[in-house]
Amino acid sequence: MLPQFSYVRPDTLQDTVRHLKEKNAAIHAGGTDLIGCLRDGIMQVDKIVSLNALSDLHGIRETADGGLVIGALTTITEVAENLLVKQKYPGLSQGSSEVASPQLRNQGTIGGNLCQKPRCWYYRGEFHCLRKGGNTCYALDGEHQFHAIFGHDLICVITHPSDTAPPLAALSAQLKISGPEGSRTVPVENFYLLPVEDLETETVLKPGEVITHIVLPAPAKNLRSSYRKVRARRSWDFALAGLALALEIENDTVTRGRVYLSGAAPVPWRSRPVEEAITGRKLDAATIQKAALAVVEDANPLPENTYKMDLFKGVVEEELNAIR
Amino acid sequence: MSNDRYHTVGKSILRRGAKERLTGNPIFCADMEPENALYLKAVRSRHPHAGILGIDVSSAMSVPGVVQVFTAKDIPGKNLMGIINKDQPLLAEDKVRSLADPVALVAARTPGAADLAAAAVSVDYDPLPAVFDPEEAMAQDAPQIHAKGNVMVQKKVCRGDVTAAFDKAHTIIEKTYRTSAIEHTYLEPDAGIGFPDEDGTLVIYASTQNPHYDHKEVVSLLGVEDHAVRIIQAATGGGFGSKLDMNVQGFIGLALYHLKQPVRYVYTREEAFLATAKRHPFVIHMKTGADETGRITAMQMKAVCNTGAYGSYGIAVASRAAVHATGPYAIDNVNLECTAVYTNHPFCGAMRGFGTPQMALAHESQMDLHARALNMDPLEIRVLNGVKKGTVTATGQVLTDSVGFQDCLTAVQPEYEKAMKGWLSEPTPAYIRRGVGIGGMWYGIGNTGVQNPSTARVAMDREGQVTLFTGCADIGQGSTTVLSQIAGEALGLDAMDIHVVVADTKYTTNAGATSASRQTYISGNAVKQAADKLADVLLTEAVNYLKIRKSDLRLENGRVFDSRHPEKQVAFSRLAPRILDKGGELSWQGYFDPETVPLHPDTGEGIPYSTYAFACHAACVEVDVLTGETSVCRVIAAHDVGKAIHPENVIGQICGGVAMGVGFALMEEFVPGETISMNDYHIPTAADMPCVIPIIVEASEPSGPFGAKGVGEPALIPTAPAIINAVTHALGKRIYALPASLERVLDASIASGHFNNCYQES
Ligand SMILES: Cc1cc2nc3c(=O)[nH]c(=O)nc-3n(C[C@H](O)[C@H](O)[C@H](O)COP(=O)(O)OP(=O)(O)OC[C@H]3O[C@@H](n4cnc5c(N)ncnc54)[C@H](O)[C@@H]3O)c2cc1C
Ligand code: SF4
Repeated sequence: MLPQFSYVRPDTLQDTVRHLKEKNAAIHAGGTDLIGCLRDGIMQVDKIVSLNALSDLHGIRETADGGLVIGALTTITEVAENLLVKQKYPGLSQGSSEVASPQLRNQGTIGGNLCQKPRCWYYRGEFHCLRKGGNTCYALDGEHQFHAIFGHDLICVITHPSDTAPPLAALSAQLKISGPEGSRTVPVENFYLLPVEDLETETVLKPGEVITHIVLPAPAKNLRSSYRKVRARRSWDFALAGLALALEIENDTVTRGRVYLSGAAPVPWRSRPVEEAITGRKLDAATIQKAALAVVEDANPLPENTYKMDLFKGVVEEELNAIR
Repeated sequence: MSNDRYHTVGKSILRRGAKERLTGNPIFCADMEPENALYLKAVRSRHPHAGILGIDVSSAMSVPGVVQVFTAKDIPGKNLMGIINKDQPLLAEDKVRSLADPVALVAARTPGAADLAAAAVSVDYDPLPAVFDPEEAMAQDAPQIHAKGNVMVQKKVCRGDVTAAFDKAHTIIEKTYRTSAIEHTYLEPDAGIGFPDEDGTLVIYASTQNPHYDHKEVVSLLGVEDHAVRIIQAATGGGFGSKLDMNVQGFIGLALYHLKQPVRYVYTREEAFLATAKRHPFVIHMKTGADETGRITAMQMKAVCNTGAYGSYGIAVASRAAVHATGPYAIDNVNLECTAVYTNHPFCGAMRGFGTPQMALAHESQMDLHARALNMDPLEIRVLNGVKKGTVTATGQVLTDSVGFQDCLTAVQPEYEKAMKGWLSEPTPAYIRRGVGIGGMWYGIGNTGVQNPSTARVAMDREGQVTLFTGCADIGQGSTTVLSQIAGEALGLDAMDIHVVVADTKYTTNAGATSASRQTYISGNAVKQAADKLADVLLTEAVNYLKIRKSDLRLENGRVFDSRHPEKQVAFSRLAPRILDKGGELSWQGYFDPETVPLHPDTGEGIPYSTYAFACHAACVEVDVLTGETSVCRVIAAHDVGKAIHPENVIGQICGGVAMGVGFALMEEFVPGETISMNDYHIPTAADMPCVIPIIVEASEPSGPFGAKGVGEPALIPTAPAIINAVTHALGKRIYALPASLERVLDASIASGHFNNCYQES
């Protein structure tokens, strides 16, 4: 059941931030994650602050230098279907269209997608686990076949659920954030926090802060990007393993490459070993083989998710073959 | 067969109830809101096995808004339920046997108060050792779940000399198969409402598959007279077997009895997952022998199925599994045994197919293994072994009529061959491998070797209006439409011109359960008999009125006419008062019970069913050998239904069955204590559905209404084995445990070598 809360829909960013400074206030964008969190009682919320009257936060426009600015309230469907996104950043378009189900993509926003709460079974259930302020990670000794193989440090083993964050990070996107202390810009790659850094929250957002826009730099001339998601069924499910590629390829050789994994770690996980295995090389069978082995080099799987090791190898092999 | 000779049978007329559903009428219990209804909430055990030392409801009672908290001692009648064996209390007395066992029931003014009070009921438990594995539960020293021991039932079917046949066999294949527990995941979670009528009758609307059983059970729980309780089936959003059990009905009855005030209970999805029956998980050891031509000569099968804490339909599942183990194949020497065992798993009950889908995985895998061993085509080996007219089954029954299995094989053959030749050799990315697989099935219509009659009444009033009274619960499959068509056909009326009174224990008589694919066949026959009796009375009176011999008279459009001189006619509305005024009868009861012979307890010999449905599916799949993702591209599904009374309904059943089969094959697995809701239980979505090509085969059943049999469960049974055989075909590596999840397929791909070599291979 939903708890009691008050609801406001301010029409200026200033008012929004003011409301958000109050104790136990939460942002409501599409509500697809928030309402589930409230229903499951995983956070205490007294006031819901809707962003929906902030018209400046809607829509996608091209910047002067050929990049894009995407308002945080743009729906995931809009991002997936936008022609400019498809042309310039196929990886983001693919990532967006792999999110959840059509209904959720129509309702959910890209800002909300980046800020959604973890999907750990215990966390969403009745368990007072570490991330909820308790003192145990139940997943470690329990059910963790969907959990992380990187970056968990055996503290909290969630995987970050977003399918848009990995391609955005691979594409070097930046987030514009407004808050009580004014605005700032944070690259997506620095937006997320590992369990060792902070357990209470998944992002660097401070109380009262709102993502207003996502800024994508102009795509390099030879940029190729893609996102591949593996999941247990074709719709609805979160990534078991995913791979976001943003490669600059000149004369068959990868001159620059950014590679992010989903379904891998508590944050969108940058795979430097894969980047190293392919940068400066032609994507031939030998390079791809090496990259496939490299992807799990420093992995730390749990007893029930060792299959993810093979899965990541398979995905890397498949996708590098597809993109070359 | 041409449908022209029928007036309404064989036509896909508008489904009864479609308009109410499309326009959102409050026909489902969750939408019915009787004034001042109290909210009910069961307190569940949360212990898999524990003694109950005491229950303290005092703090729950002091929660504002709480009206009453009931425990077992408030049950005035017999606190035991179960359709076959009564072993399940409505509220636990001295112990709990599963996580889901209800120990108390709260009635409160608001849902919030009901939840708070449920949490405040304090139960003093004495935890007992629990057992979840059925094979472990069979051990001497296993924790005892019921006083009678953990083995609930063992069913056997033996015929011929298995040992001698294995000695002579050319190839012997012996394997173990495992299937998962499955949640039905019907669209509508269980729900019911109740209120006392002006005359004090306790009226209960419920989402149910068997209102007349519910009635008996509530009456017994409350220790009241039959007429004191009235059960009406509300619109029911799917059941698949789980709504054969008493889910909310007993709770509503208990609260109504004491409080004499409207009450409602609508399960959340989580509660429907926790508290209702599951499909029995099976472990099947199967050994088959074939001669050098590929003819299967012997089968030995030992299965153990986990019925969980209570019996529900477990006995029926065990006997059906044993009887169906051979699949639709003629095997002369068999030794088949299925044991149903109690464990502390939440209880398992009926689910679409009663053990047959589990068996089909085993016999269809064995078929393919034999085909491979002898380098035969999978379709060819099925044609060779498939039952035909004259085949003697494992129980010694001679199949005489309506044996359409070979017709089903023939029906899929063109598409199968196209797939094997054309589709398989189309270019695909290196990491995609394609496979084609076949699954066959047979399914006995109705309950296994026991009486399972249905009754119905067809009545005409003085104005000539016909009303059909049937106790048969339409749970979305469309039985009310089909039964109206059957009555309409007998009476020469449009189905929609017949009024219907359905599944209301005050007005209808028992039609038995909507299960075992039995309603079209059994209730259809009862309806037909009643309608034929009424038609005969009308004809007799028309002879008198028109002075034309009966054999020349026909019924059509609400009148009787002379087939040679159609202008000579008389309307029903004229005949009806004449008949009544002469003291004649216009209200007729029909009764049908299929002819069966009970199975011998040691050999299983007998006639378990009077007719069988047959089917064959061919599945085309693509497997990504690098990720283990399997996508089912196409399923060709041929079903012998005897006669499709309403072809679109049949196709609906087939497509729905395929969807369920995809889930059973690839993703569904209920893990007690871990699977909470649809968040962690995967059923196929629209995006996972293959293109389905339904083919209706009509091998007319002489004892069926207009030749009809049934299709509800058959629709699902061959899908999973066809998919597993196709995945095996793609990978060259077989999976023996369902679901063939991504992880298992990936393992098979690695074991087959394709994972490491797909780019080199291409
Ligand atoms: C069944 C299901 C399946 C799903 N599957 C997937 C999947 O496969 N892949 C995937 O990526 N996601 C998946 N999701 C998550 C879904 O994509 C998110 O719920 C959605 O993107 C969130 O967007 P929203 O606008 O509804 O956010 P809301 O629910 O409104 O907000 C989500 C969170 O973000 C905060 N927030 C929202 N907007 C902002 C902002 N502008 N600035 C700061 N904080 C903000 C909110 O306070 C809240 O905590 C699934 C969700 C469900 C329910
Ligand atoms: S993985 Fe994280 S969220 Fe899940 S139980 Fe452990 S600490 Fe809690």
